[in-house]
Amino acid sequence: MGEEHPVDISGKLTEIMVDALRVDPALVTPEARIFDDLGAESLDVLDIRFQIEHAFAIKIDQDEINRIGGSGLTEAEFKNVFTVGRLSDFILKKLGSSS
Amino acid sequence: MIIGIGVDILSTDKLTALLSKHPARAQEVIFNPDEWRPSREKGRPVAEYRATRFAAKEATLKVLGMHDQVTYELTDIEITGTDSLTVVLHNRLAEYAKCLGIVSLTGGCTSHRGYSVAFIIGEG
Repeated sequence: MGEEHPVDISGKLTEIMVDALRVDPALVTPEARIFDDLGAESLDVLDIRFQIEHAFAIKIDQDEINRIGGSGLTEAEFKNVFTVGRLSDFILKKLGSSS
Repeated sequence: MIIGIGVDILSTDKLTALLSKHPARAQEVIFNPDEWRPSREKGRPVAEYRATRFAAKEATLKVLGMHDQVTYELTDIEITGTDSLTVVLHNRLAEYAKCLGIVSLTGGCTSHRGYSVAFIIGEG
């Protein structure tokens, strides 16, 4: 049996996406782009950010969100790479660096 | 000379719902004290006042063409005025605007039928 992360990031993130964006859980795949596929707008991203902070007991700055997917991207490029999977990886990294 | 124009619209109720869901954190991250303070004396309901502030902040980011060029929080964008707006930038956003040649950021806002909208013009 493989080693499991003590926190189910994927499951919790899906719950948060469904709550914030009112989407079908089946749409919340790692490849789903949060803006372009799941229909998020700026207020939704704030809601998601705050829910993640609460769920995982971490603090997230605006810059950290803006730099998910890389630096130097235009807003359009960012929206194209801001996926559920990348957000999940970000949370995992954040949890690893805070432990 | 106009250097940039930005506009944003949002559902007033959606912002109110966000503020109800995350009262402390949302206030800390989004609003400066004068933007948060109830302002019925300014002739606009609280929810609309806050929503127009938020729309103006988003519009300002569009004027600046912002994504991750500099470190910022929404509180670095201070919105003053009631219907006629002036934007005061702080910290690195202020430096960034200076680099773009922007010396003033002004605009307007309104609310109607559940939506709040703001536009901001950056001039140099």
